[in-house]
Amino acid sequence: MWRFTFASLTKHARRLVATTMAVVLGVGFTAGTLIFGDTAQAGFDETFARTAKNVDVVVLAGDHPLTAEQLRAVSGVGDVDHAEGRMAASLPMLGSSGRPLLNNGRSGYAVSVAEDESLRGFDLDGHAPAAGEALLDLETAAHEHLSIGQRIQVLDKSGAIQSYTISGLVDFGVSKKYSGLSVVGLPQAEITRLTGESGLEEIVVRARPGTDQNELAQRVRSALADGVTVKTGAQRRTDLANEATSVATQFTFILLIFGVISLVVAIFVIYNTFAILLAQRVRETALLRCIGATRRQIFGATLLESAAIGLIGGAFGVLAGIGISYGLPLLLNNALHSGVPDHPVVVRAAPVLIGLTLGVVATMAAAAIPALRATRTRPLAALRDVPSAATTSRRSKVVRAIVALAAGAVGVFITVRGGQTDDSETATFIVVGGGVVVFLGVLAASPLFIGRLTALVGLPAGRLAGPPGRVAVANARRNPGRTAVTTASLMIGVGLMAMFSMLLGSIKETAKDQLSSHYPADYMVAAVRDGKTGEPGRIPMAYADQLKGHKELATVATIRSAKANVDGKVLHLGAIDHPELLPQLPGGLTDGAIVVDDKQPDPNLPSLRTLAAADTTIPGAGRFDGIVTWSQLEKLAGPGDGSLVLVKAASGVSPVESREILDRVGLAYPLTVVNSVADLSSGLETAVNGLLGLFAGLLGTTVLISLFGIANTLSLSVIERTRESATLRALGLTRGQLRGMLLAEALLMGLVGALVGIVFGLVYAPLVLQAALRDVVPVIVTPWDWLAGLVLLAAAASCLAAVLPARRAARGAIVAAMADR
Amino acid sequence: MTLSVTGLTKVYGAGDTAVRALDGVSVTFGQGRFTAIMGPSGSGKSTLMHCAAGLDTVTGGSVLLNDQDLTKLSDTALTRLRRTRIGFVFQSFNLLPTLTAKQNILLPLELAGAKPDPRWMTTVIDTLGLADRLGHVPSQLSGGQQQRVACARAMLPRPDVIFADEPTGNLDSRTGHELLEFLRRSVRELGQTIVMVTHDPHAAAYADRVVLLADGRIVDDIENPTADAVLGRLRTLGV
Repeated sequence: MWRFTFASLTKHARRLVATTMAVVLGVGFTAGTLIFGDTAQAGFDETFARTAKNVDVVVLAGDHPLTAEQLRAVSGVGDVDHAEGRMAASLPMLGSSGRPLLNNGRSGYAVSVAEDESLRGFDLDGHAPAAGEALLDLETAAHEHLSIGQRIQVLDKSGAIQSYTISGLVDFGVSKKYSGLSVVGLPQAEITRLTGESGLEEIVVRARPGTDQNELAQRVRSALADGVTVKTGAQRRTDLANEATSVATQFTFILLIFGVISLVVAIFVIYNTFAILLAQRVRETALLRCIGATRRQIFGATLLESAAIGLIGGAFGVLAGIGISYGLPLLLNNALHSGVPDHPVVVRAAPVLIGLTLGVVATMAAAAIPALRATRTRPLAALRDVPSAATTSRRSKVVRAIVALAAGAVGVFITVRGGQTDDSETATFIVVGGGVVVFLGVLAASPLFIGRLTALVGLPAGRLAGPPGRVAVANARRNPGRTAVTTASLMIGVGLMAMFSMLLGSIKETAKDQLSSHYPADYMVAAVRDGKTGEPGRIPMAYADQLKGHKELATVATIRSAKANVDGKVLHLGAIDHPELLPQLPGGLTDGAIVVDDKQPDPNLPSLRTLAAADTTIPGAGRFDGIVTWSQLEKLAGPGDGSLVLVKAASGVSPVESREILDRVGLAYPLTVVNSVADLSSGLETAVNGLLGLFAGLLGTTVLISLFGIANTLSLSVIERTRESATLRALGLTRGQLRGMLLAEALLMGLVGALVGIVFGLVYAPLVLQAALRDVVPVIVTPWDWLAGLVLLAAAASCLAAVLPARRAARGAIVAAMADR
Repeated sequence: MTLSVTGLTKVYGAGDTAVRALDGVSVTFGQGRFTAIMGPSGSGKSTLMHCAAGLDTVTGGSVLLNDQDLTKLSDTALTRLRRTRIGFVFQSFNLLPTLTAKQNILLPLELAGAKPDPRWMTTVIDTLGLADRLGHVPSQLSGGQQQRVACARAMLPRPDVIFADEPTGNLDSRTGHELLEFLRRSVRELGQTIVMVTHDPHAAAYADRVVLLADGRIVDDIENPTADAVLGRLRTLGV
């Protein structure tokens, strides 16, 4: 049997190419994700651990920053070779436009550059800053097109602009703390001069050679007061590595889901290939049975064949995976700004072994049912003519219908239960689970309806293209089981894409809807948030006063937030000088009264009269424990500036005009950011589109695999129908018409698959959305442009898949094909 | 209508393995005649038919159908010509399994974008006794019925010539004789020209003329053959 298996493998090598490609892609994606995971892990390890390089003992600040005395105390401990304080303070850097560089409303950082080179927490390209010089992080430099020798500007605590020459560039990688923010490296004293801060974040210690880290850590600990954490360098590095792992795992988990999806799709393709191949080989199998092969031997030979394909596909898949692992960081960093560090690809044994195993196991599993069916071949079949069109017995149809209905019913039941679950996260999971079961039901039922659907979709083909069109439709539906499995892979890919596009599109619209309905003003001017703490800064009252001087602006409302001690409770209170801008607040708020938050238990304040419980959310400022009048807040928390200004333009004033006023006034207040509903919407749009692009890219593999599936089914059908094609040619079908016929057949399969997938996506996306967004009424949008694009994609992919089989079919000589038995 | 083959040569392969399937065959098939091509296996009778019908390319010589040389036509031009001017009946029927009997019958005309003459269509279908079978797909028809559908398909466009390749090869003897009887009637009563390849002397006896082939050459030409005469001639060829 070994020899037979080998012979049939080599004989049918061409027919197996497409199957092998499906294995390669399915395994490639999964192995690629795993390899990428290892690589990202190594990269994160490296960047995270970089801060603890050469460090023997580290002192980490607790609630309060570390002081210079503490640094001196540590320096005085025996066996300490050198101790260095590291500080980080917020320091806004100005971009080329003259406005501060912000990320998510936060300004940038300044970090100290250690005098001792070996104790610097970063690698430096250039030299340490001398007077009038500074370091800049690589990301900001790239974004702002800055290089060594050029000038940068920062804002000191008084708001004055200070300039420095860039002396070197620093790669901070993905250190979560700095990610996306501008980081300027300066000597410690210079940071103190600029920001007025002198507290240290951590003290790093290099020990004298031969000192035990644990022992030294113990001595450092006893030299310091409580409230600080002392760790050995080794411990610190382990901690950082653990932190890195959690970051890396997030990415790999989501990617693995897509890997599994593509593997499932590949299994469909493999299953179909073996089903068709073995159906075509009935004579051969029967002949083997005639000359004495047992059922076990037939089964074994088929499985062996599939194992060989799985192994070859798996091996190439692992190679492809290595290639994919190069591409994934680019995709993620572009779409999500995920900041996966650059690192040479790490290929460990595990992903290789997992890839090979997946290839073999998936292929064998997919081939098992067709192989089992092959064992039922009776020896006599070798002597008889084999019917070309498979007929399905009524009984198996009924069984199929029952299975499909059962799966559908269970899926609907789960979905409905999910819809009734209160917790939105649980509800989403249950609804998605129900969706998967319903989809399985649809897949099971698809051979029953796919024929009719094909006929329906193919109606125009028959009308327009005449007999070749009609024959194409008839061919596409003559073997519903085969068509169903072929299109299933496309259904999955396109269905998921449709669902994601609808989900993300609806989330986007819902968010926009929330924005416009809850956004009482045209502009929201926020104070730049502190880069280090994320706390909102202050907007001088003069700013609002200056705006109020312009009659083009109808309302200028200042919002102040402050922590205040009321009746022994620390409350986060808000005040707004134009309460009428917030429609949810009840009227009549006076001094001595408070509107409490309706999402929290009543704080029961004896000293304040509770006017009402209401939604205390102020856009841009968040939810408060309570809202009081401006003067009441001054009584409770002392006088202070606002942190947010809401501006409503007078009617008839164009957005350009009002924006121009805000920008002009803002020039004198660099630490303010003007947001408009339009800005927020377009930001949202960019984010959602990035995500959509990523999902489309990941699901693209699935579509690619189904492309191979269609090509495979079609070329096997072409072989099967050699005589028919020759007859048609003899009766007057031109080569072009024959090619067109196969193209039409592929197109039909592609369209039907895409349609079923899209319909499923359209049904389930709103259900998932309703489960996921419990608090708001989701705005459901149907992304018709995307869906149309998906249909076009499926159509183009299936036509592409048909090109080679169609060419091969049309090339054959008529007479030879007729004689072929 | 005239179909004449002149100096037809067909060589398969090249060099040492070259096989001369036809070696300078010249023959004319007359209008309204039923001609049988006979010969032992490997004599070249099927090749002659394929070349004369424009299904296969030739190595040398010409095939003139109404003064048009088929060997000079492009594949597409030949294909278009086959739709309406040449009909085929095959040994294994070769009906499209996905189409009904009626769709199969209409296929060549529809490919040509032409409408059938309804009276002619009724005549053909009635003569072949297919009226109550038109909605069936081939798998629902018996072998004899399938071959009659194939005949109707060949006749409906009123082709210049019908080529029948062992049309009774897959039929039992009674249905086979019925079919041959029908072919002869369509020649006698409807004026159809038919060229039939067969190795069965009894089938050949239905024809007006038998052309005998051996080793790629015409070795005999018998008018008004009987089965015995054909059988006798075949014996002398040592088959």
